[in-house]
Amino acid sequence: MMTETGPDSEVKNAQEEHPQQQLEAVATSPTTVTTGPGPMANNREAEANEKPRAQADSRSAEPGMDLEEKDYSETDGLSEKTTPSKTQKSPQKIAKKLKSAICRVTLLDASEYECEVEKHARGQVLFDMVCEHLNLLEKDYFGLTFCDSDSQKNWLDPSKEIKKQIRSGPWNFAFTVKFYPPDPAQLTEDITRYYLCLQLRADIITGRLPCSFVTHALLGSYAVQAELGDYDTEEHVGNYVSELHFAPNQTRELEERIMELHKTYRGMTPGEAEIHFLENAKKLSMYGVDLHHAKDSEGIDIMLGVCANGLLIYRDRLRINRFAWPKILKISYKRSNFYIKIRPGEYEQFESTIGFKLPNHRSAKRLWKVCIEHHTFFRLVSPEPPPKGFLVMGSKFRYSGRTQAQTRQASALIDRPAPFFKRSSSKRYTMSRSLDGEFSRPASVSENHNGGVESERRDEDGEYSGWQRSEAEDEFEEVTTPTKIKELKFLDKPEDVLLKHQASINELKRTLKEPNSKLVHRDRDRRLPSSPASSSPKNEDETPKGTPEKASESSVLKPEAATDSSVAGTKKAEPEVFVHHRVTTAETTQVDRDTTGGKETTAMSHIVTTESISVTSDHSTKPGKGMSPATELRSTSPISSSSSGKEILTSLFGATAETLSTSTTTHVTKTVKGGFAETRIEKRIIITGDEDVDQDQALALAIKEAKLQHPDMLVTKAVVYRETEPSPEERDKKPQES
Amino acid sequence: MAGLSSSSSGGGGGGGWSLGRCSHAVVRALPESLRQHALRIEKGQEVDFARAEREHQLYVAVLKSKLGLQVLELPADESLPDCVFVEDVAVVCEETALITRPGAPSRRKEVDAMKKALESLNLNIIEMTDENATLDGGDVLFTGREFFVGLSKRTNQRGAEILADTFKDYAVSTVPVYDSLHLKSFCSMAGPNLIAIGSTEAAQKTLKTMQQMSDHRYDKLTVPDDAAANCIYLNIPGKGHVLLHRAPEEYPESAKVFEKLKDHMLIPITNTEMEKVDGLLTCRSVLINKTSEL
Repeated sequence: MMTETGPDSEVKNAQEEHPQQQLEAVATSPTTVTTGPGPMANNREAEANEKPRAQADSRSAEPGMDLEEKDYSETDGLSEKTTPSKTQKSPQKIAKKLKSAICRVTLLDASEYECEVEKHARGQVLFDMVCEHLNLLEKDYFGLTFCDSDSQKNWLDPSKEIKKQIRSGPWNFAFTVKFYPPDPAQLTEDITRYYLCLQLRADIITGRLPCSFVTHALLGSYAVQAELGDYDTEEHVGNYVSELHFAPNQTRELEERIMELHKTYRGMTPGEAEIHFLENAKKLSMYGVDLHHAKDSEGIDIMLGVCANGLLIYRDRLRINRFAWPKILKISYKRSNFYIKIRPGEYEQFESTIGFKLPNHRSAKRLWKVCIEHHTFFRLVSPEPPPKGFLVMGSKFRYSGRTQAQTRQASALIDRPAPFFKRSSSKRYTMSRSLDGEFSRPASVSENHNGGVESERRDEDGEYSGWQRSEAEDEFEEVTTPTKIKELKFLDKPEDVLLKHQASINELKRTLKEPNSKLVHRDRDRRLPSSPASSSPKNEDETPKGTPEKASESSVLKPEAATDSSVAGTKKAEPEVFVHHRVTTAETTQVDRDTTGGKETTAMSHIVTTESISVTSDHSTKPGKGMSPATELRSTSPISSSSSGKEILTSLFGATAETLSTSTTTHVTKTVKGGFAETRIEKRIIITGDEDVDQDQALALAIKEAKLQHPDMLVTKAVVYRETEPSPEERDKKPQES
Repeated sequence: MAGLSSSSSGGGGGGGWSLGRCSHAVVRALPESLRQHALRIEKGQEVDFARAEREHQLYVAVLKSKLGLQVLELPADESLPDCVFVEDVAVVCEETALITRPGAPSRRKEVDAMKKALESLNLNIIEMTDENATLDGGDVLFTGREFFVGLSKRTNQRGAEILADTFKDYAVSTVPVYDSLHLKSFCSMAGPNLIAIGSTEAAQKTLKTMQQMSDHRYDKLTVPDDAAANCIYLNIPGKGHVLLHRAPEEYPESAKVFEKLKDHMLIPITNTEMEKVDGLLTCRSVLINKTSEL
């Protein structure tokens, strides 16, 4: 999923030059077929045309062009490879085929599904086709992977073109679970659980999900019950389970134990057996943990595990640290380093940053993306919109699918008879299946590990100027002009919650209105006013029960509250429901986010924050939340619970001096196990004045001064925001609340 | 096998609610050599051996008679002065027993008798043979959901790794142990989701670390005395929650805290003599839950 801006824009250029071909690709009308001597020739011709032009394009573009050239040539090769299958297709489809590619998708039962997609199709198209083939509705937990040139597993981004993502690679994919539901019993459909079971069985036999003998036996026995049904003395003779695979090192003893257990399950349906399977599997410590090889600051090999709850740090098999999502303020990567910024602990005053060394830049970015996705999926109510505006530096990547809250909401509305499906044989689960062994097979190169460390390009930015943008969350070493400065924020921050609520309301509305999910649409009118809980008895844990008399919107809002409360801590959701209502009324404020350069108009933010503060008194553990005038400022002041933070916030309002003032300096020195120690100095500079002040220049001066004061340190980050004078009444409110 | 009847309490997959379930216990008599040669952190009062024996007999009697456990009593070995502290030589979880490699070289031979005893119970035995590994059971806190292993003078990283390899279902987190002999010198489980913890700064700091490392939220029971935070929680059919804790005569303030546990059947245990050689309540038994014959 490496989608550097450079290549992207390059490919876009190529497309723009060929609107005709694009049209052809989409068109189903037979008239377009006649443009060439024959479908195949036409196809080749199109390719041939495209190639030189694309090259010409890329030459004028960034140095990333080398990659592009290769891309195209290899794509050519591919189209030839797929020729035989194409010719077998019915002539009806010729028009489509002109620009389509054959995708091979390995499914969870290890069978292969082949389909054609339009060459410029986005990942979503393929994913939807696969899910349709699988008859899967609760698809948000799943995803497609592909291997890149380094044999590293990457997630196919549904929102981007497939072609751009796989680059030179073959159009081969694997359908896998992406987000392991912490409570599989909450899934609505048996068929979804079935696929999850298949994934877990694969995880088990590849050693990715280690478990004890007893657990192998228990899970194996449920798998047998699901697959073979009740034990039958006539049918099940001898070692009838030996053909099935249950464990990395399957012994006769294990099989015997499985058979013993199987005999005791008479009457258990396959669906029940799978629930039992999942209830046991979900408790395993490595359930749903996505591991990435890394090194800590001392060069010791560690593993970073991304999961629903946060980031786990392992050394060998031992957990040596854990950072729950709420503890993490920001994640970033630069080159092959991956950083997490940690919320200060109870007795600490300042945040700290911990760095890890990944094998290379790509693996660092891959980890960063996986973190963003997991955090969004499990912690947020709705995905955060990608940063906008040309001033945004860093990756614009954000998770764009539905979050767990949304998918639960949507699947509560599923109303179809339980689909019939055949449980295919787990015989297919042989050890040869190329999933990744992690712990259990330390010798093998696992999915996210790249043996060779990519050459360190200190001046990477120069070489790949296009990457400068894609380097998300980078801490910029050189702050040249203030206008460029804009910080991207990781989102487990209360201050972002309000904006998210807004977005999520819209998102949920959209989800429910648009036939994106047909099933949801179908029953919307009838079901929406009733509570989601009542339409799905299983959906009981986090989704608070909606009250039937409320309008559709409020029932939409409820799960949001649930997630929000978990973001804020362990609080329960109920009291917060009203907040969201209020936010809804302050709809316009959301726009702030998108204004350029992180400069925001204060007055508008005030509407949001004031509204919310009046209700969310239970957020008082985080003073400063919602009180500062601009989102950006708040995000840089997670330590606002400490007194110094507060002072800054309030002083902003009180500052009336006409000149430049440096308000505070803080030091952070912290060593955290499994990471670096860093000393960090934060300066907050408040420039106050009327419109005439050249703020950019003033900031440049201030940065220069800071550099002079600490010549041995780097200016890594500057956050700029502009506020306008709050209205007098707003200003009066603030100090009281803080 | 646990977990057959109900999936949610599943035995294999790290179910958290079987904590304290116990059918068997292994104990060992104390040798006279304990008086002179048992290891201790610092020289202190001399052990009154007769009294120590009486205390131990009472302890065994509680397990056997009062709680109805099947108790295997191993004979003392004079060449092994610390052999009464059986906890350090084996970690048993469900059907698997890890025979440790104790951190103190003088204690390594203690494992032999334990291994035989556990074999006689048909447990799945794993031995820690790696010569770079050391692990004392006293550094292993099993919460029912996961393991915490204290990295102490007696237990090292490699030992913890082997423990993690042995009990693959569970997360195994390492925590540093400051100033104490073992992790369980200042904490233990006092209920299914309840960690008893001492009040010293070191104890509290370690608890913080454990909380950070865990996906679960535990309740804590803070007692004024670190040594009193070492108690034994059992869940005995017909008796419910049982807690063996230090007697009020020894730690009156801590005993008061335990006495507030209304759901527990509280059994005060005197441990004055063993504590002189750093022995606490959990040290003197290995608890095993055999639900069925294999």
